[in-house]
Amino acid sequence: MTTETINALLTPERRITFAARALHFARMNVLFVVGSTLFILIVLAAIFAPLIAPYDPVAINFADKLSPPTWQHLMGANELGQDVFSQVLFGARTSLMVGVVVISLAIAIGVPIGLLAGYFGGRLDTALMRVSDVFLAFPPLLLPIAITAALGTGLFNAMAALAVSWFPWYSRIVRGAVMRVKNELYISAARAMGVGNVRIMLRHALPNSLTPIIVQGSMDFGYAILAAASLSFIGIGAQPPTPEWGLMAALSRDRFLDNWWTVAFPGLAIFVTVLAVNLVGDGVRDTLDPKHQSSH
Amino acid sequence: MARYVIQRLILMVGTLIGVLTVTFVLTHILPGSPVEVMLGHRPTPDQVAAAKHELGLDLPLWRQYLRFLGEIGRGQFGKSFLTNQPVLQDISQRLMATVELTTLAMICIILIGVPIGVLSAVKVNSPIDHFVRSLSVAGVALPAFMMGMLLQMVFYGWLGWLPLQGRMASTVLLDHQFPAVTGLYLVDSLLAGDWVAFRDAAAHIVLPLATLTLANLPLVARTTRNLMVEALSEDYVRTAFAYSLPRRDVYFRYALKATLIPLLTVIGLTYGYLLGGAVVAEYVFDWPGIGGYVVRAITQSDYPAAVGVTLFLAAAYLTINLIVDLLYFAVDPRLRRA
Amino acid sequence: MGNLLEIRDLKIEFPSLERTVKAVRGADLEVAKGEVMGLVGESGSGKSMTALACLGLVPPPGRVTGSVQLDGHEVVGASEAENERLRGAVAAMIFQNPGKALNPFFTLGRQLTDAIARVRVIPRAEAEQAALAALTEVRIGDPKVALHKYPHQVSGGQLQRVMIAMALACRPQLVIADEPTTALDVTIQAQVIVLLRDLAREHGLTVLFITHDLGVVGSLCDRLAVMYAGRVVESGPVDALFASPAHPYTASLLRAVPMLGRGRSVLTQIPGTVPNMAAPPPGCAFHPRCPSAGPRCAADDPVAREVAGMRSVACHYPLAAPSGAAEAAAIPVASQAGP
Repeated sequence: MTTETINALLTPERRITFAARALHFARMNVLFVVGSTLFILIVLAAIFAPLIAPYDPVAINFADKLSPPTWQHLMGANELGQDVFSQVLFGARTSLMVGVVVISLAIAIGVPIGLLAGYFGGRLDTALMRVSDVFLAFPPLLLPIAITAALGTGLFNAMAALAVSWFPWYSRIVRGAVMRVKNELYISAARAMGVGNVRIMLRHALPNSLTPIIVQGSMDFGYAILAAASLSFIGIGAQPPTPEWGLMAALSRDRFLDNWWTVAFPGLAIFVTVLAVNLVGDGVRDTLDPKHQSSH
Repeated sequence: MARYVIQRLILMVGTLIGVLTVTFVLTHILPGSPVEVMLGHRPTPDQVAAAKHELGLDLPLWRQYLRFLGEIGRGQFGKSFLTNQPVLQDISQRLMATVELTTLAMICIILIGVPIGVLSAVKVNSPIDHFVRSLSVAGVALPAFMMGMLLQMVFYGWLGWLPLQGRMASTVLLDHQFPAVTGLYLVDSLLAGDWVAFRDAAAHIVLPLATLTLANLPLVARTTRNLMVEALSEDYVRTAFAYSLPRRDVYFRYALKATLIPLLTVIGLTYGYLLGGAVVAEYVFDWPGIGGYVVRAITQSDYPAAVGVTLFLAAAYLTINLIVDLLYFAVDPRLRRA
Repeated sequence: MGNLLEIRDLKIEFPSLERTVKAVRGADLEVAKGEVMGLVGESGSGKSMTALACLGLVPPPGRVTGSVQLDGHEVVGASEAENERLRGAVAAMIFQNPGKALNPFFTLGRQLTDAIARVRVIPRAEAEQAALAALTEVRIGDPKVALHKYPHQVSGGQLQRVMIAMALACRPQLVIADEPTTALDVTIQAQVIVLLRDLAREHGLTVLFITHDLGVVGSLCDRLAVMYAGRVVESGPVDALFASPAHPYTASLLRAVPMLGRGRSVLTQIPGTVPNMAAPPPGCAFHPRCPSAGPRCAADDPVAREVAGMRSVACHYPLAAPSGAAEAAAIPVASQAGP
């Protein structure tokens, strides 16, 4: 039996059960449907922001300074007369990008480390995991703050910082999954046939950890958006004039008591987006990881 | 068990050295030169060189690293560039404000979150359960700073019931001086029998406390619920019912005890989230704790302060998790040696 | 004497969004005061659910209809408070897996005392004395030490003795033992069964003994009820049932049991599988597996009817002639069972 046949034996069935489960789940779970609908709407809003937005999000117009919500400014205008609605729309682009970049980076750092640690075990495993533990020893949010400050403030640095402080979770997942399958018969078979370590890792060990990675990634997506917004809020994430929801709230902090719309709408945008993402994430987890189903 | 504790302590020291290394690396690639921050505007090149020498910044990096480790090892965290005070003194002045806030939040989270979780699990799939689960999903999606500003808007802006920010009104602080016994204003004002000060301190802490509690409550409530649902399906719960033990005892003694270990883990994690959340909450409410201090230290390149607080918070977090792990032994008889 | 436990047309269903599992589909059973009744069936036949229903312990979302009379009290539809007065006091349960049925986080003494004090409404000190006495009675070595032990420090056989002590110390009229030996070692099984038998005799206890193992029933029980797919298909005195089973299912069960004097060669398996309880077969649930099924079996579900010698059977084509003597009835079974 070649590795290809083994592959062929393993994967199709899993795809079918996944599709079947997903369909079954979609029928059963209203929250998942609501979440994914919202999420699709937000993605569309982000993509078509330049077409939908009535104003240039960074255009300053002192005539409309601090205008409450009106037909001209659906969500009002801020201190500089910028249209809050347009900024919120463009902010969706920023936040979705943040989610994608942070999770992808965290996976890109964490997965190879977990693969190496799990596959080779021994001292390499101990060393890699001890190093990962150091990153988990910081209270959440503190390490990203420190890293961002070190790299310099800015959205990209904030994203990198979040990814760097987040990768050990992915290392742990992959390491666990790899260790579980390492001694399975088909891996031993592949090794006996002289298939190289790298190939075994990529073709057999990695696919096995794919499900938990996807589950974790979909659960973390919302967290990444929240954390990035928090970093922007305390002034070390996105910088003006980037349209970013946390930054919008921060910039209006001095006058938000009299001009609630300058903070409330960006806040609502974060809330709805993260809620939608989390509902989708819950759905993905329940579909891919049925043992969690009782407890969702 | 003593061996386990020693093992864990050694591991913790190792992790702390790792944390130190990470902070060292971070602070030494800081963009702003700390010397400029320290000396203020337009120092002469001689001044800069002298200051660099004093701080050891002219040494090779590896020697700086060893020197750094040595200093920290001897408990010398240096002086803050911004306050010009020893970092440890800065920390100790602000620590109790953070402790007061996070500890009260932890207590509120446990006292509210655990019963809600139990109720939700007992009435599994009932309207109450769905309500609790929806709230917990929604609660996680609201960022702490948003929650804080929302509360400020409602309780200060609209209702005018509670103060906007700070730990105590300055007028009260001046007129009602009470001895700092514990550093916790609520406790100290009570000890001094000063009701005006106590009420003012209480009024100030309500909003930041509510922010931290609400932001972290969903995780604890949801975890409790899921663990309880599992525990309630155990055979021994059925046995307890078969011998007509009262429901409250079965839920809060027999079943809840089974959830304590994973719950303790989550509570340990939550403490970490609280420390992280305190950074944001202290910023929003101008709370004079170490959360706001560390943000300012980091953003303004005050690196002795940044290193000191980072290390302190990491140590606190690790210690809490160690305590949580040790509590396992108290909770689960199976872990004790017979 | 009257019946201590009377179950009439008991139905237990577990509805879910897609299908409803009918765990029990109209079971009838009565247990007279002082007798040891065996309830036998394969796993999934609904016997454990029937036992739980006796104390109103069917877990949600289970729906229970019919009637269960325990010492004259109706259990089905009664309030939780009413049933709580029966639990332990009138009927006490012994569960299948003692390692799981006792709480790992509390000492055995604490759990015994909690239960006894609650059921008998006595002070804790007195309950602890009762626990000690009961532990002595179930022949646990050094009961005082056992009180302070946690479940994981004690073997499975000892734990089951503790469960029996718990039941006993509550001084119930009926003990319901739900597969009390299944999780135990074979040698321990025998000890526990002997213990149960001795205790039942000493205390004049009524026992409902639930098992899938016909082998243990003969030495322990006075009467026997056989359950299949949520119904009692045959019941009667143990000796008569063993000698001449009337229901083909009972006969197959007996054939599957290795017994003294029958040799090993007769060990057979029942062909087919236990029916899917979400969609049980029409007519008699056993007909797809039944060697003597006739045309009526797929259409009509047979009703249980009385046959000679206090027996009842639910079958269109019973093996033993209803009027025949036990000796005569034994012949066709023997021939079916092979040499």
